[in-house]
Amino acid sequence: MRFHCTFGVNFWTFESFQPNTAAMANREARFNQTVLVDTTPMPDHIPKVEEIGATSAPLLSASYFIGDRCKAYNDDFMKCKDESNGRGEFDCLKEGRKVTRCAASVIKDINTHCLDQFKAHWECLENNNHQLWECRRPEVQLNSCVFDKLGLKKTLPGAPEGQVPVHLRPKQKYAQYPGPQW
Amino acid sequence: MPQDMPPTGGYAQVQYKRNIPARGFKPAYYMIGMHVIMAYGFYKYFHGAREQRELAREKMWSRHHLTPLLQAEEDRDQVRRHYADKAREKELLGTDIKVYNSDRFVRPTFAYTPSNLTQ
Amino acid sequence: MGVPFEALLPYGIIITMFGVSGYGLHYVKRFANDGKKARWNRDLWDRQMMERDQRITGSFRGQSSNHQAPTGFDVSNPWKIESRIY
Repeated sequence: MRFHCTFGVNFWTFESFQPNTAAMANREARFNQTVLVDTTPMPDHIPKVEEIGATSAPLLSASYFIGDRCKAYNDDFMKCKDESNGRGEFDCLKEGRKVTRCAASVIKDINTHCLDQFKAHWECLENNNHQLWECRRPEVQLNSCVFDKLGLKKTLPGAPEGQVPVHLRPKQKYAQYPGPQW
Repeated sequence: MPQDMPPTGGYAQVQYKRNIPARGFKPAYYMIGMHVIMAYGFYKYFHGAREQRELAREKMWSRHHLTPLLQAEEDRDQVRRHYADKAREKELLGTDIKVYNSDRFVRPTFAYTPSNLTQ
Repeated sequence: MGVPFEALLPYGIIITMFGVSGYGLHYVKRFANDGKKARWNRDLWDRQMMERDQRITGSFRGQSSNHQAPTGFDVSNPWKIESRIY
C-alpha cells in the first residue's frame, strides 16, 4: 500500500468564467506519474443510467440543442446541487440521471435525423480548435436541419437588443475568411 | 596711422535667415489626418471588441448547457467510488467508520493505492 | 560584377535547414494530433474535455458522436495522484 494525494475533476468550471474557490483549493496535480482507477461498479441500490458517449466536439456542436430541450432538467439539477448543502452528490443523483437521459436523447435524435450536417459541423470544429466562428456554414445547415426535424433552436440569451445574434451574422470578423460565410 | 574703418557704404547684410521653401501641408492638416486615422482605428476596434464579446458569450452559454450533464456524470462517478471505498473499509475494519462529523459529501484528498501498479 | 556562387551556398543551407525544421515540426505535430490541426490556447475546460475524450475514444483527439458511452466508461475515470511521504 502506498499513500497518495488524489486529484479528480470535481467541479466542471472554466478558468476564464468564474474564480471558483473550491476549484482553486483543488489545484491540478503536478508531476503525477500514476493514476488511480477504481473499477468497482455502482452499488445495486442506485439505478443505472447509460453515460453519454459523445466527445468534446459533438457535445459543443449539440450544446445549444441540449440546452433548448433539457433546460428544465438542467436547471432542476443545478438548483438541487445548489440547495443540497454539500450533499448534492448523493441527493441529486435522480436529477442527474434525468439530465443525462435528456442529453443522450438529443444527441441520439440529431444522429438519427441530421447526421451529415452534425458530422460536418463537429469535424469542422475539431479541425479549427473548437472555434465556433470558423464553422458558420456547417452550423447554419445543422441549425436549420435540427429546427426542421426536431424543432430545437439555437438562441443566445443575454445578447444585446437590436443586433443580429453573433451566430447568425453572415460575416465573421475573426474567421480565417472574414467575408460572407454562406 | 589711420584706423581700420568700415568700407564706404557700410558692410553688406549678413544673411542669417534660412531661405528654404516650406515643404508639405500645413501642420494642422497632419493633425487632422492623424485623428482621422485614429478614429477609423477606434471604430474598427470597438466593433471588433463587440464581436469578441458576443463570441465569448456564445462560448460561455454552450458550456453552461453542457455543465449539468458533465457534472452529473462526475457526481455519479464520485458516489460510486465513495461507496466502493466504504465497502473496502467495511471489509478491512469490520465496521462502518465516519471520518468527518458531517454528512456532507467529501471527496477523499488522500488515498492508499495498491502496491502493485497495474498500468 | 557577378556574385560568386560560393557566397550563396550558406543561404541555400540556411533556407534548407529552416525548411526541414519547419516541415518536420509540422508533420510531428500532425502525427501527434491524429492527423488533425493541433489545438491551441486551451483552457482548463478544454483540457478536461480532452481527457474525457481519451476515456471514450482512446485518443486525446479522437471524436465520437454516439449517445451511448462504450462499456466500462463509467468506471474508467482516472484520478491523478501525487506521492506523499508523510
